[in-house]
Amino acid sequence: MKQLIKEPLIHFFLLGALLFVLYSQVNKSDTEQDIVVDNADVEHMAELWRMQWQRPPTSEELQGLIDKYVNQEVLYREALRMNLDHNDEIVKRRLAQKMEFLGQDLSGLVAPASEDNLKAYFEEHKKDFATPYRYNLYQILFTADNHVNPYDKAKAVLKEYNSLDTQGMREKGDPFLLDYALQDTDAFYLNREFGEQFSQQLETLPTGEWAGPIVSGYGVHLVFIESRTPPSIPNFADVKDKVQRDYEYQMEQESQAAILKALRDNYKVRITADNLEKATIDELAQNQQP
Amino acid sequence: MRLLLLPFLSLFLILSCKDTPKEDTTTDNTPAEKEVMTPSIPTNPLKNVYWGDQHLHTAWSADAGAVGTRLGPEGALRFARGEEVISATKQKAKLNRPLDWLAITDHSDGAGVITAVIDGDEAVMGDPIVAQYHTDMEAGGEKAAAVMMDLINRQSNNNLPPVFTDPEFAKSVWLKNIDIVEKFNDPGKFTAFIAYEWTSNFGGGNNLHRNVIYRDGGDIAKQMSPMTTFDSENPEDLWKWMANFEAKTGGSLLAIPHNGNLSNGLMFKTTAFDGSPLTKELATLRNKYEVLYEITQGKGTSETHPILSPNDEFANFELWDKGNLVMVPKTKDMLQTEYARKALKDGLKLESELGVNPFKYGFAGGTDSHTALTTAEEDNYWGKYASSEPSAERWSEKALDFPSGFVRGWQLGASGYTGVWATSNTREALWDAMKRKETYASTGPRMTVRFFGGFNYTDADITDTNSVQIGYDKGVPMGGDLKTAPEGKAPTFLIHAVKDPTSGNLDRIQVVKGWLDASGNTHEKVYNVVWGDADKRSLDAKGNLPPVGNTVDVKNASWENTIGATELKTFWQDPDFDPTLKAFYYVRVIEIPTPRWTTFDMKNYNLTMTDDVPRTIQERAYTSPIWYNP
Repeated sequence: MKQLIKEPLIHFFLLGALLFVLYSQVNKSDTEQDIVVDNADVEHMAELWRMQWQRPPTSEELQGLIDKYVNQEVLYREALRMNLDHNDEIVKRRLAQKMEFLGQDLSGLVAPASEDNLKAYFEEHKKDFATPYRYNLYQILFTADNHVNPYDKAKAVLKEYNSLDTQGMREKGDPFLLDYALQDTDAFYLNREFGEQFSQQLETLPTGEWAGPIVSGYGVHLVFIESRTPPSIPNFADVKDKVQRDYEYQMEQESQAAILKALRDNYKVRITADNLEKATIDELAQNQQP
Repeated sequence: MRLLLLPFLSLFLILSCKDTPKEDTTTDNTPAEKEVMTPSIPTNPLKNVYWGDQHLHTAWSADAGAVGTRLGPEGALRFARGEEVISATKQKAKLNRPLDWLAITDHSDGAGVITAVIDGDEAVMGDPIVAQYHTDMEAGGEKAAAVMMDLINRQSNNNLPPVFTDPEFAKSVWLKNIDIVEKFNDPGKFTAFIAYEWTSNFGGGNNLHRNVIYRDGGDIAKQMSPMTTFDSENPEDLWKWMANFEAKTGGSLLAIPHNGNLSNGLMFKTTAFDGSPLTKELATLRNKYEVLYEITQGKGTSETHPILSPNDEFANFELWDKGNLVMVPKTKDMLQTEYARKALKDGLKLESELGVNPFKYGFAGGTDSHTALTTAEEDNYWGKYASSEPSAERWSEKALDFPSGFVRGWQLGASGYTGVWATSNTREALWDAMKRKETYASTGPRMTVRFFGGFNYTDADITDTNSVQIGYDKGVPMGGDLKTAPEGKAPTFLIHAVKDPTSGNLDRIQVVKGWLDASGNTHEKVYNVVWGDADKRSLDAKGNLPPVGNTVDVKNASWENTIGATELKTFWQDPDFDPTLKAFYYVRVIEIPTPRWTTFDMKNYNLTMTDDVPRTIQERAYTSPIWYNP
């Protein structure tokens, strides 16, 4: 107990409790002391319960819900009276977020995803919808687990057997979990499986012959590219869903920014802090321009 | 511009009236016509490993402490798919490699947002005033502004059309979230799970959080609101809620608990939540719904602890063991019931008493990032909060700060992905794989790990070109069960790991075994089963292996893959097997040392850090166990 009395946190709580009591005595008269639970409230609680449990609450459960509601209401009102909502980071964030959601819902009004709008967006952002490089290829691998110098080994194998077609080379590399034949594959998949470095090197290798060595995170490869299809722009109709998704996202962000700017224009923001770097101050000042 | 403001403000006013929630109308949502157009999704009966994060928060987790996080679910999904996004601190962020799937686990709540008027929702168009509103709003400009003025008037005079308080009118964050996730779910290419986090901090910061992952789409998920901690902080109630959800909707759910290390002993308590003896009914519920455990994430790794596993030289890994989520100090006895390995052991014991194993967990990893950016790579780590996004200060600032203690930023881990062995990249295939526990957790790198157990494997099977087929044909994969051993046979295993092509080589593969002896005591043992540089390293009499070495150049935050192995594979048979005793086996794959994220920060920001900050890390993967049930 002695320990507790020395604890600053406990002091803080006691002080808080005392203030609380004092405050509520002094302020008895200036707020509504009525908490009314009407039909609509009860229905609201029951409805929330139903959404979660897909059945109405039993009378016992409802009693509990009402109890909880009253407790929360009491604490909430007391908190408001003590201005506990002021400068509370969580409360601020929550309310700000509600405003943001409203803005998002409005963007659909401002710039609907009409066919024309989507087509225009697609024309402007064609690059975003380009297909990746596509390949049919064969690869063999030499790893440092099996060779003192896998790069030299690969070069030697290429030199000795490079006349072989795609069938004869299979056994010349190390046994490994990567596929020997990669049919109808693309750069996206190759990045994922071999790492970016590997698929970048494929873009410039000669086709129709065994080539390399090229390096991946696994080791050193020889590659036979049967066919390589460079990126192309798809038809609008084929990617319309994607276009719409991107368009709506961009519109949402633009309208968010517009709304925020409009709201900010109603405020005069002055940054009086002078303990910032000059570049920061300049940038902030720039942001304050209406 | 002013015109735009009016609708905005009035909508806000409308909002402040009480909106009742959506009634559960049975909507006959016809599936989108896209279904018909979908080209066939490639499937692989031998399964591919698909990488993802089952634990991510976005700006929509309002209470998540994500100060300044601007990206919502859409930004998070775009980032996970490999797109470049702008982070909270206005930096360009992009994954080195896209993920295959993502579960956004924002906390759900009921911020009502009114869209029905705008959408011309049939349910509200019956009111002539509202119908007129809709028409005028469609027209936009002056007319829309007039609608808003009218609404403001009615709102202030308490004279709003009755439909404005109709449940049909409320659209919660949960529903908005589902709509976005649905938009990004792309079967065969990228899977976006519907999910949420149930965030119980029972008793003040004792972390009992669960991620709830849905197998189904929006049509099922929208039928019921998620469970919240306002309803209950007791996980048993969550399982009951899940059972109820499945019964009512026909959908399927699973839950993934996380951060036992911050639960101050509550996560794997061997009693019921209220302290009474555990019942078979509760054990069955937990066994059914909690199939995976998040063994590693940003707030520490919860595999085991040196106090629990004194003979495990790799037990001291990225630990957060000082307190709970709000730093209420931890006592030693609490360690006993908050780590995964010990829970697996206790599970065997409880199963022998109850007939059901309540702690039958496979393993998952998750970032638990609150920045909407799922990053677990040391050289591309975007922190856990907006405040821990890349900066020169983040390592020394406090990541958690409470009166009773704090955690420094450098202690955050760039950790937590899950590899899932599934036949295709779809919600159903991935979820089913999670359910059967054919998963493994990684601290970041995407190494490929196979683990099969059975009684009939041979040494030749591991080098056979069809070893995966043999693995499935003659036994079970990770997460599976072995029945009573045939007379005179000990279990055999096929174990195969290949490095992540962008990360460090492999140091070693270990098998972790736990078992329950005849007198009811549990034991554990770690076996080194195959390792790199085997020409230079061998086991001593105790089965220990010399360290692999260290090539990390701290100053340049670089390393050389000149030690360790590109791949490791082995056939292994339990040398200490007793066919009468319950046991489990899981695999731990360990990389050679590479620079920790803090070391990349040191280089990038030209910093000097204190000596308590580790310069290197040995990344690892943990497979789901295979259980032996005599």
